[in-house]
Amino acid sequence: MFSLEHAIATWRQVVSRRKGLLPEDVDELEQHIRDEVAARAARGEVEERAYRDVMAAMGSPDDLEAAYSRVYWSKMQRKGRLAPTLIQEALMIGHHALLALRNMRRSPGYTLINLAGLAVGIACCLFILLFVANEFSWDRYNEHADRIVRVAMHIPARGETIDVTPTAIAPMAKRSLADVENVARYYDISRYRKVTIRVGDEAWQESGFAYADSTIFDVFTWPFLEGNPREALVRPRTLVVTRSTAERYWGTSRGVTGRTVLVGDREYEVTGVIEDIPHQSHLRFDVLASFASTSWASQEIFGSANFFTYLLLSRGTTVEKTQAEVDQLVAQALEEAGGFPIDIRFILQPLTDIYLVHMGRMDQVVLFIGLALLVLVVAAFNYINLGTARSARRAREVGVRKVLGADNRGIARQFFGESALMTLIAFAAGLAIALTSLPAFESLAGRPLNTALLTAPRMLLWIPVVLASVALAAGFYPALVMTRYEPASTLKGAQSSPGGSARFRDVLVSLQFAITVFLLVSATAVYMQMEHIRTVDTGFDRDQTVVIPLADVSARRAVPTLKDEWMQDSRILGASAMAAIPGNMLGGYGLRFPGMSPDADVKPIHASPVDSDGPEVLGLDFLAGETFRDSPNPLAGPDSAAYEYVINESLARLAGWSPEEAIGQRMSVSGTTRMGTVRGVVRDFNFLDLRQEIEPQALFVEPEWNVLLIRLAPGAPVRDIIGAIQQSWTAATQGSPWTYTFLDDEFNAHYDSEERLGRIFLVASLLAAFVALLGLTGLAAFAAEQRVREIGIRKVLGATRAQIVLLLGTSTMSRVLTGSIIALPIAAWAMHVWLGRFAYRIDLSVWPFVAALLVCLVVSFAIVSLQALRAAGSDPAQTLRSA
Amino acid sequence: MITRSLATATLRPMVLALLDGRPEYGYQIIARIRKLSGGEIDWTTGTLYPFLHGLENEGLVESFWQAAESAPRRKYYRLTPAGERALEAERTQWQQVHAMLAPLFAGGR
Repeated sequence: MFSLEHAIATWRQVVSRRKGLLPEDVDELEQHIRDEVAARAARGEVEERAYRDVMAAMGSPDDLEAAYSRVYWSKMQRKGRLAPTLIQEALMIGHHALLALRNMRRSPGYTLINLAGLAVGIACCLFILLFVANEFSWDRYNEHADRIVRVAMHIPARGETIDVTPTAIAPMAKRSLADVENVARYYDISRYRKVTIRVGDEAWQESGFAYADSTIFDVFTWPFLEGNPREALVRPRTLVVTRSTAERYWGTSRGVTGRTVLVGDREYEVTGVIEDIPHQSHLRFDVLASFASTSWASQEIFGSANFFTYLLLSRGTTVEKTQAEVDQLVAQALEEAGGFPIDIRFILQPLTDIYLVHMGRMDQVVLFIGLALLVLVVAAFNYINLGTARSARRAREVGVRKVLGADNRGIARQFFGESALMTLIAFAAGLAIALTSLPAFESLAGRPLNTALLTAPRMLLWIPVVLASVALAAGFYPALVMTRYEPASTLKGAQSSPGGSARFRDVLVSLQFAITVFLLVSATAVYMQMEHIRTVDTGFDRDQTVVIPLADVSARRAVPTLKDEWMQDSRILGASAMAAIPGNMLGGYGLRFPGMSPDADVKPIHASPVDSDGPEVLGLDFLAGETFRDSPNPLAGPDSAAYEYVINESLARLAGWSPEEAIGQRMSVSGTTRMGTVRGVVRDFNFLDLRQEIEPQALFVEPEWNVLLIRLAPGAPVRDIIGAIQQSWTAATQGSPWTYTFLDDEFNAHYDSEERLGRIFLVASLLAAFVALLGLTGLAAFAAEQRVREIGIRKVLGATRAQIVLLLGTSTMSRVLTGSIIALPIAAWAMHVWLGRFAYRIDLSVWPFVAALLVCLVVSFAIVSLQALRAAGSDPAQTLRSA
Repeated sequence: MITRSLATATLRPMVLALLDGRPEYGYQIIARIRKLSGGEIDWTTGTLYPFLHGLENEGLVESFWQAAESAPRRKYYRLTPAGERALEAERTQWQQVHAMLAPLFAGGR
């Protein structure tokens, strides 16, 4: 019997599920049906027939929904009905979250593995965000950051660009260029030596001392605590100190302007105190003295490039435009000056590029991002793998949901919901990891990080983006697999997951191990190279050698006295004052022989002043001749022709001498002056750092002393001797500040960034390995669990434990092996490129590769076996009955 | 028989004209169009209601629910001032078309 009420109720149920129709629309349509049926019935139609006709005219629910949804969105927006729908969505998400929580509780092991992996990956990502944000924030603390440029000097002939410029550029630009609002020069004397500052009775060796034009405060944003920025650095013999320097000197940063300090032996007046310079600044100093204090202030020449030059461009101009103007100005000025010996060009570098581009930090930023993404990828693969592996278990649940009317969108939403929830929990855990390991990460990155940047609005936008992409990436494949299930087959009890997803899992596992092996190999190779540098024969002795900086005149004057005194101490083998220590002997000179025409090509060589004990204290290896005579007049002066040279093998080769022939030859390192005789030839030693080949070099005696080296007897008690050295130092120099380092530390300091690289690779590879092995544990457990019946049957039939372990282990091990084999050539190539940067490098042997491979294989085999053994240990009677 | 494309073109002026001066509900509109066209035009529910909602989006009509004493609650539509202006524009247009076609069809050039 037809019942209109019943029919309408059924219809309502069907259309109410349609998202495209609002309840109000359904009400309206229902009333329409009633009206029309009533009208037809009034004309004598049978009710049932009338109803069918009305429904036919209405169209299917699909058509209806499509027609409505065309006008749906704008309507909802207009009427503000989006909120209720969103609430409904939120309720659905809540429902899915509940389901997800239940699923998590049902299998805590998998959940833990997933969470741990994702949390590690997310912590990595957070660090990267923080690190990158920090790197990109360099120098941006300056109010005019986007208008400041540094002038660099490009020498096309040598293909090099140096960041320092002559004195002339700044005043010229200020005078002649309308687009240049202001200029400032900055002379960083700490690049060359430390400066002694005396405050009352105390003396400090400052390694952050610079001179700058008074206009520097108009260009850079360095807030004053005391003093007037306009006047602070105008007069000669004035200086400004940073807050912490003021506190160091006087214990306070208040009321110190007007006080005086001694810089070397000259009195300077403190005219201002500024805030400490932010760490993310390429200019750093503790004390800034007026450029007017120097003799260069009145100079305006193109020779002698020692100064940073900064221009503040006017608003509205561009770097390109100003660059063209600078080019023109310089060309004109050089022409007026009658030309310049070499071709030079002055290039404008935007302030915000200096750190990333010109100081070459971009590489490290890219490297960090790459490594973190690799770890995140490994973690995401875990999630996908464990998700699809367990899909068989959940096939039934999905099947039932499908039969009950869930569509594919609903199923997909459920799995995305799960991955979203998982990501959210993992994010909380990752955040906790990140916060607690921040100090470790800072030391890894080698710099303090400004965490405030993480809560900057732009960052807060990024974090949800990262989270959403992780959730989507991780949820995508499981959702895809799940929606593909045919409920009929899963409900009938088909157990296995589709073959496609198993193969996909294999690929992902292989990739995970490829990444892990790549990182392990890299870490090992970097470590081996660093060890190589630490122990390589550099041609000079760097053990047991103390280095004391000679920062002021009184210290330099005390050198002969101190050396005499230390000669009496049997624990001290020798001492020598010199201009620079090996690794830093940068000085460039030109080789000349007597009788060469003044126009002849001068061969560029390196040379470095030492005192007569230099070769001995450095433990140089003489191939021919001998060291400097004991006391050639140390104050001979460049005009003397009585110089003595100790040259290296390469220089002899350059001059065309055998070591023996070289002895007694006449030469000079600086044109017509410093003419002298070769006294000895030494085996090549690394006077520059190990990235560079050894080039021709000469040592000569001249009292240009910046460091004092003291070689201690092997096995002597270092601490006692240093105590004694300090005592005699303080007495002889009348209170010159005392600091010291060791020669090997100084030499190794050149490789800080490489050491850091090694540590970063190590941490990244350990994290990746941890996460990958975590995933392997999950997969192995899953495989064992899935095959528990088979194992039971095999056991009943007499299989041994070893056979079962082998059975389960083989396939997994082959994935690990495949991945490793993919990784090895890539790692070999990458390491080959990296090692190419070192003139002294290890031969890339097979050992790092074998080691990484073995570690991966052994550890993963252990994990797989453990799970297999657990399965093999189960009682077949139990497993066969219950499965 | 009126072709579908012509029917579609006339839907807008018809609905606006039907609602001019008095609110109506969906079924009434369909029934009146059917009657006026002598059954030549019979809009389906699935076309008319979304169309009404579209007009509502454009701000030409507004809807309200109302229940008479003896009648069930129905959703009525009525013209807004913008709707009245739109109707005026439609009327002018159609009269122009009509004025042009009438002599042509009459055979007088």
